[in-house]
Amino acid sequence: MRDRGTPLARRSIWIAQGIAIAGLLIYVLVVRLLAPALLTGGRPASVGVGVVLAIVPALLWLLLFYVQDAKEPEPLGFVLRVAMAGGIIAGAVALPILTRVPTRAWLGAGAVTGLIVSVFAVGSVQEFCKYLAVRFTVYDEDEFDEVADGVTYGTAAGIGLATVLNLWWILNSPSIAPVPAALRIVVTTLAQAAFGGVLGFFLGRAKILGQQSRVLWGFLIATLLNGVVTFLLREVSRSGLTYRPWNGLIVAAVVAAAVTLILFRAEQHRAGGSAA
Amino acid sequence: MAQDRWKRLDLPLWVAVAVMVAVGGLVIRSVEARTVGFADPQGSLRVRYPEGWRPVPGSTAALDVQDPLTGAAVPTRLIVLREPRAPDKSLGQVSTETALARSQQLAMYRVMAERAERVGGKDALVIEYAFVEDPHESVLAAARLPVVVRGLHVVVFADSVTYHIDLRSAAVIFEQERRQFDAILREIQF
Repeated sequence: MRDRGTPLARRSIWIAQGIAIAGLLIYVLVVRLLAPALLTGGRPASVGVGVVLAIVPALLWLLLFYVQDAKEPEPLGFVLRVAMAGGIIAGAVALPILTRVPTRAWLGAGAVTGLIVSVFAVGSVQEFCKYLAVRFTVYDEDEFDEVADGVTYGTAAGIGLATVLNLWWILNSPSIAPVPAALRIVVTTLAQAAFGGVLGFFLGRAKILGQQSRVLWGFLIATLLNGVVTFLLREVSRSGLTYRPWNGLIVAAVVAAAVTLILFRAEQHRAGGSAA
Repeated sequence: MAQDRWKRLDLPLWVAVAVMVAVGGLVIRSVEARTVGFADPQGSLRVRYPEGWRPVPGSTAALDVQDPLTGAAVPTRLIVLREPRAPDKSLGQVSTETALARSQQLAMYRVMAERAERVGGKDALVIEYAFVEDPHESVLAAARLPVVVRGLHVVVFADSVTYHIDLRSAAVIFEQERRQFDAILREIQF
């Protein structure tokens, strides 16, 4: 009998997570190398370049997942469907709410208030969008048959949401400097993918192990993580009025790697326990 | 089964989101409502502006505060200038002279519109204007591309004083800031 949800058959999915994180870091370095070519005559990059910068991380992440997750790949159509649903729901639900959050008002109001708003108004809305994207597209499908699938789909929803947030930012920026833009885009992608992975992990456990009531805890953990990291990224990316995007990249990469490792160990521990 | 799943999986999460968004909204509302008051020690003007706005270093204006955290390439700003009132000049004359003077000081200064309004219970002239300036140094994504700034310049007489109340922001966020500017103007008292 097949041991549903064991990580041993799906070790590749965790490797894919790790490679995707490394791939996004390399992407930033590539943009940095190409930056002089993107800035013709010292002028800012065009909106078209910005849009490409915003979309490439999503394509890179999804491609790596698909190639690496070769042992039992999720149907590409399902992964794309969840990513697109994440993006569409982000545009329909998250953006209208988040753009009404007057960030500067609560940024100036102190750290505690900023943190509360970051968790309650920003994190909860974003994680809810990812939940909707997974829950009402693939959750009931037979292909969703392992806990690790939840991580894949949650991550895909996060990637879709991040892409829409990045596109919105690019289209509303007065000018686009390629390296800071690429850094911001990768930071958003890494972070949203990681939070989506956490939520997807709990959705996977609900689907495969019947732990439905724990999805609420998964949502709360993902929301808390989202809010705290979003707040932290804003704090470390600025020193006074100076923007320091590399600090944000370090934080986002560490968070994404730590989340991947923790989820992997948790799933390994669970599977070990169930096998025993 | 679907009903059971809705009760155990979905419903608690939907309730949690509703509660969290409501709490977050309440916190935002309470923060937005926080303002700082300024009373001109040499005149009768009283104005309130958002708590997070900070004084502009080195400014000689009666009040000069800015909000550098808008994400735009220039900070949003409130400037109050005070000058003795010339008894023989009307609001129209003062605003015309001001516009001419500003066209010499500010690059590509343009008057977009002018209208009469009541501010703080007094007759006032509101000049909508635009000009171009360099971006704030290290703001996110700001290359050294000049920035279009839009603003509202309110000229109002109060006893022996003429006040120039100037509210400006980067043009790209002007409409969004307008709500805040209108709120500041509504709170002005003499």
